[in-house]
Amino acid sequence: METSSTNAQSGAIGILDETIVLEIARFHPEKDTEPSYDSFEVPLRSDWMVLDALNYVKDHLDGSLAYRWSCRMGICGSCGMMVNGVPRLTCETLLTSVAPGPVRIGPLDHFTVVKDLVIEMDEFMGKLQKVRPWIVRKDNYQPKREFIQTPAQLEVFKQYSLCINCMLCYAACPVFGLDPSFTGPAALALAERYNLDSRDQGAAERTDILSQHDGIWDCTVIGECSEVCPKHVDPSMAIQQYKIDATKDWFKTWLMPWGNK
Amino acid sequence: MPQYKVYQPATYRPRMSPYWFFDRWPYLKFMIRETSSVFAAYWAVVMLAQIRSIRHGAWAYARFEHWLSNPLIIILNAVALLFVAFHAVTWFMLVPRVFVRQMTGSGAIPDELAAAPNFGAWIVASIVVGLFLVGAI
Amino acid sequence: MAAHARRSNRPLGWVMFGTGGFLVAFFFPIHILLTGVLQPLGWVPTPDQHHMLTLLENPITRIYLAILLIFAFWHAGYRLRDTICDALGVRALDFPIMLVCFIGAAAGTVATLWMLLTVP
Repeated sequence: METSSTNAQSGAIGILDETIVLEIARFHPEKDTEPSYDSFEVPLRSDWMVLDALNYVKDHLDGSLAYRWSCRMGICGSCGMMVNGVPRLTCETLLTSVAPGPVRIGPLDHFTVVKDLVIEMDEFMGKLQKVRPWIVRKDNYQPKREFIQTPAQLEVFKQYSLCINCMLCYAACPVFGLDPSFTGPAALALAERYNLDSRDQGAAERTDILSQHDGIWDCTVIGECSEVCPKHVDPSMAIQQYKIDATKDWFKTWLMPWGNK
Repeated sequence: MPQYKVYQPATYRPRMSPYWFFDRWPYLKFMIRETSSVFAAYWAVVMLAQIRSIRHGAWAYARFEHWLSNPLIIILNAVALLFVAFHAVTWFMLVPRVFVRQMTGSGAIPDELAAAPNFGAWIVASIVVGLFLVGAI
Repeated sequence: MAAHARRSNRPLGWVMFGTGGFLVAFFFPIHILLTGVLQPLGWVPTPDQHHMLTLLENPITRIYLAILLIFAFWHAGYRLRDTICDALGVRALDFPIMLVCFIGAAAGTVATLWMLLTVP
């Protein structure tokens, strides 16, 4: 590993004297009927992420390239794209990790493309709303101070609360690709996050919605949503947990119809 | 679907390839796992035929054994074995994790540890059933 | 409650699928390995029909086979339904595909019960 003093002497941190070719999906909504790929040669730098290379293209090669990004530190969830066919946050994918290239960069799979690498998010936002991702109280309880929650109660749902809505899991989910009405990994993980929250009372309400067609039962446990998740939320596990709970509910309703309301 | 359409002349909606499961290894693995169901159904039918031949006497049983000794059937069974064994491994890796999580409320136990008892039970079950099948008991 | 009534009846099939998944995983590989591969090849001994019939006449054997095979049929039916929908991209045809798969599983159930209940 190079020390900072040798870097200072050479005066060129990260420069490798090499280039890499990016094949970027282009779709112009006023001219094209389907996307095509444009090739761009950019410097290969050891300290660059794929997003830095896209910024280089936009700044120096083609200012018309459209893509989303914001924080550059894996928390805003804006820069998700298909990198060589795998959904990735481009701000967290080292350019050297996909060298020597050419690297195929496309918009997230299964979503409607607006322009180049930008996808339409309304669809996902609708799914999020559907699962009621907020604390539901059945009583009209107006707390005078904050709800008390122990660290152990927090631990139960914490993992599922780390979702940054980057939609990589949807791009990795063939079920969503085949059936766009599927509620999908992130929204279902978030539903489970609120179900497991000690302050929440909306589990029955959510199960009414999510155990219908298009909810949890569409999932066939392919498991790639959990593999591509940059925050290790494990939506696949959340959905299986949800299936167990919904199954318990179902049997309770059928075996003891009088027990449920 | 987009709600905002004023300055949005057209959009592109991708369609999934009919061969999507060949696109990436994890998807192909999923499809291999799911296809094991065909071989599970096949073998359940074979076992029904086996029971039937046992009931119908020595001659019927000999005919069943003769059918099994066809090289093509042996190859088919070997393939079925691979698929069903793949199902078993994926099942034992996944399902205990789900139950551990359900019971403990968190992933407190490492995946390998959660799966280990199943592999142990698998070996024991195989030995017991195996001894019966070769006529040792 | 209306929303309650629209809940999927999948849980019933899912429980059958899950139980069958365990049974198939635990017991099918050894059955296929011995009956389907090693015994036809002559690499391990094959008991004669008389021995197998004695085994089959034991109620415990029949209970084992009934549970194993019935759940295996439902496991396969449930999974096959989703596999066909995913592999061919025909989730719109889910209902007829489900019917075919579940009728197959039901036929397997009836055949298994009949076969095992009528052992001489």
